[in-house]
Amino acid sequence: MEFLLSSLVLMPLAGALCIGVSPRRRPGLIKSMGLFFAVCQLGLALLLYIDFDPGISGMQFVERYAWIASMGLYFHLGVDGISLFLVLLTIVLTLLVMLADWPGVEAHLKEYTCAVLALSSALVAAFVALDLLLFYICCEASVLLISFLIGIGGRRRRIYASLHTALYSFAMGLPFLVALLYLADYHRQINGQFHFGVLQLYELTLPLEAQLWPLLAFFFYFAARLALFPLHTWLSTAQVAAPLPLTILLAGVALKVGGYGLLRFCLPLFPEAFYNWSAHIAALATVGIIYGALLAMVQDDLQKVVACASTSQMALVVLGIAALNLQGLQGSLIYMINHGVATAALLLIAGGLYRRFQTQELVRFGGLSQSMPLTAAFFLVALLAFVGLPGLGGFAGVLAILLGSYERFAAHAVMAVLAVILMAWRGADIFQHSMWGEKKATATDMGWRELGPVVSLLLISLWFGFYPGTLLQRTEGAVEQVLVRVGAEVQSEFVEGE
Amino acid sequence: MGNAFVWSAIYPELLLLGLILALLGLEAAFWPRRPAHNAGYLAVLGGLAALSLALMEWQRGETIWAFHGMLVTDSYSTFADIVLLGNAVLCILLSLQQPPRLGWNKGEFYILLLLSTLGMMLMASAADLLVVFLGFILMLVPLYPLAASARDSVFASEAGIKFFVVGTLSGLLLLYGTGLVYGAAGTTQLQLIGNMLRDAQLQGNDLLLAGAVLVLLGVACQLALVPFHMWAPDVYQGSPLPVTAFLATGPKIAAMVVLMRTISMAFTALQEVWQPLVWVLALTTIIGGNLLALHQRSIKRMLAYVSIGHGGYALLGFAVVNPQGVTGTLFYLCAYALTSVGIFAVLNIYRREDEVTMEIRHYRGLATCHPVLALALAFLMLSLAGLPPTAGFVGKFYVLSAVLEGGYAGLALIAALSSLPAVYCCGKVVVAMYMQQADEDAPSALLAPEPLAVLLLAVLAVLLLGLAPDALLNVVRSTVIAVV
Repeated sequence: MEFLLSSLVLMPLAGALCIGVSPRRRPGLIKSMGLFFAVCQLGLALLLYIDFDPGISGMQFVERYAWIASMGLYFHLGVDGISLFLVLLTIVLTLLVMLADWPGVEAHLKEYTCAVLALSSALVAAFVALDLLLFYICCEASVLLISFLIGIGGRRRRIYASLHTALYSFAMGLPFLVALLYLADYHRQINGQFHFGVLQLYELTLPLEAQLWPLLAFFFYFAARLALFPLHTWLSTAQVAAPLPLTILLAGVALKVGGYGLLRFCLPLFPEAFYNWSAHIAALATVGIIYGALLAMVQDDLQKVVACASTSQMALVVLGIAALNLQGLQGSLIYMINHGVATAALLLIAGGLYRRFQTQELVRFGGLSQSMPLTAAFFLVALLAFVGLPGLGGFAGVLAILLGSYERFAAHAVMAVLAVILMAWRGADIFQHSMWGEKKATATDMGWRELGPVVSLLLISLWFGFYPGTLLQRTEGAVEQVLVRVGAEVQSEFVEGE
Repeated sequence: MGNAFVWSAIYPELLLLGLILALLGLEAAFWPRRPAHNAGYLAVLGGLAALSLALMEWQRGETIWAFHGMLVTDSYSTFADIVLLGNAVLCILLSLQQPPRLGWNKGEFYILLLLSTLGMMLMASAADLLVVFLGFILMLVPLYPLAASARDSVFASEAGIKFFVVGTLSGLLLLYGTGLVYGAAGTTQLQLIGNMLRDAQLQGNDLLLAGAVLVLLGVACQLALVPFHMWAPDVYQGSPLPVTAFLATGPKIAAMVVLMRTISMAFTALQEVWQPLVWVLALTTIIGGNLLALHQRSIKRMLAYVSIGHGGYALLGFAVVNPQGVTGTLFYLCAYALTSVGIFAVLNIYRREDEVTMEIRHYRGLATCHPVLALALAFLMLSLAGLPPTAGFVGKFYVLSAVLEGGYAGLALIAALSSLPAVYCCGKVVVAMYMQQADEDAPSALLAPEPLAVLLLAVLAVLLLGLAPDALLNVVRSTVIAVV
């Protein structure tokens, strides 16, 4: 399996090229080609999952080719426990996006299909890139594609949302790029080589005062990517405007790039500075958790509720990472994965509702369970998975994050618990008002074609809920590696601090 | 210091001069009633011949001092010649097919364009301040009528007059600076001035200092650096599209090349004086140009402001004074020239008869009626905005990494963040093409083979330089030895 990762990355690109040269007048052909490549990618991803060795904590399936030597850019890929499930999540959700119909893009179906495939490729590449510059390029490409997709297929205020999303990310990305160059230049001064390989940059021990501003550049870039307060405003704009299938990839995967970046780059590259600043980061995260939950309480559009709740939940991920212990880090990771699964299920149902009512405003729904009993049942399960009920996937993650952060930031953790409870209440509230209560609307129930993807996602969530070992076993080694890199110094300080 | 007449040092220039004279004769005597294409195609062929001579010169890789040290032909000047000639050929190709009603592309159009190119090549190999001035004027004077060549339009007259005034002013600054330097050093030869400064004969000479600064400012006018930029948008807007393409690229490259040569050969020792000045100019240009581009509705004016900002980036690389930076500057200029010419090719293909009033909104819906054209323009806009995977990104990356290598992290941050408005401006064009419905008064496409060929070439080159820039970077790196 020598070229497994590069074929995972390049296959959708090849698909996009094939679709790019196929005739525009045959939408059926374009759709089935898109689906074909998504299925092929899923097949490769299953191979990756099977061949992945949980016993190895380092990088697997490593590939490294010089790309642009004079820029220090290598096509350097590898996968470990941190990235494995995020890659799988991306690929599964891409397939769901391909399956979903979206009437808004008929005029641009070719561009739409190409862009979704390319987006999948960019996101997978971002998760497996072991070269920081490659990671940056893939991240920016993914944002570009997302805003392009919002622009061509979106709903109201799509152009505003498209530019907003792109500029937000580029504005945060430029300091990130400068910080990358700074790191590479530092590496050149020490080792004589100008390059961006993460594994080599890990070995650098920057002096504390030199860590601070790159840390901030990195942190705010990732914070913007995972919509952490106060950099969260783009998310609800984008979620409300994006074509519905895309919202699945947006909330399900694109946000996770930020959390992944914190785990993979921010923490191991600037351990001391991160440790020094972790109290501030935790405070910011706590504000984000509560603020997002409060926002979710008052939004009346289902899509916005999901966006605001996601803001809060991603802030929870940041809190877990700021805890700087195994529980916190691992909890954050598995929470991100479960959040992706649950959000996708919820958004699929929300999309079904939108198709029937042309709206997602909650006041317009009511008593839907009478005409749509199946939808109501799965909507309930999806909501429960989303808010992290025991027995479903989200719970293990939330619990680990809260336990982990309680060790270091007890007050923050308590407030986070309140926010989690608040959101569970909001979930129940939404269900009650839309599915039960006064009958305001009727529609045909969702068929198995629509519910099939939802059910399969919920089964995955259920599996992770009952056997979190599937996740824990594969992620533990890699997360421990991160903690080892954070260093003995930090840990000893940490013990003293207790 | 070189022999008197080493003709072999200037073979490409001589060929170009011969071509110009031949065209002039043919135009006057034999072709007055023939379509202008003939002259155009001959100019393209001649340009390509000169280009191949320059390539052969490049392969020999010699450094020749000629004409009593007035000219120097080395890999640096040859590289610049190749870029300038290539650029001129592309711009001539663009101008071949024009709507017949406009009728400005008569035979003399090509003669003037080649004459201006000759001036630029002279600048590239100048080793004496007087030759710099000569080249400068030879470059500028033919550009005045070119800028005003769309004669029925009032904007064209405005462009011509403004360009004439600013060109004359910058020429005067340059000449006055040269005079002051001569007064202080007793020579105008760059190498000799540099030697004197190094030997501390002229340390602390205020006259020389004033002269050097005036030379810098004269060139800055042509680079359209803020605050000497006001002419550029008006001139770009009023000129016919191929001339705009030429104005936006050729003079910028030539001015940058001559600036780097002059400063590094003669005024290296005054670094603590000119370096802060160059820093300030570069940063104000990047910030000012990009911010001013934000509110432009006319696509030509928007491109003008964005290209002002690009001039600032190119200067930034030089401001660091290390080989990495100069390499970055030269690469940046190549990437920028290819991108600009490609964009102007699209503008030339998809156009209204009255090109002065072309606005960004006229590009609405281009993706539905001409998807390939829209894709090409979107890709070139990515490059102009400096996003991967394009040549523009590699250029920006290289310049920024040179700035960091020089130890100026804060300045790199400012420069990087200042490119955000440019991203927005280029984004607006993509938004118009892909996300908005076409207006009633949408332009029509003029699908002639020449501009399409230029577009294809530009897109391929930008993609190639974006994905595999190593070949060009290595070439550039070996040329900059001459100036660092």
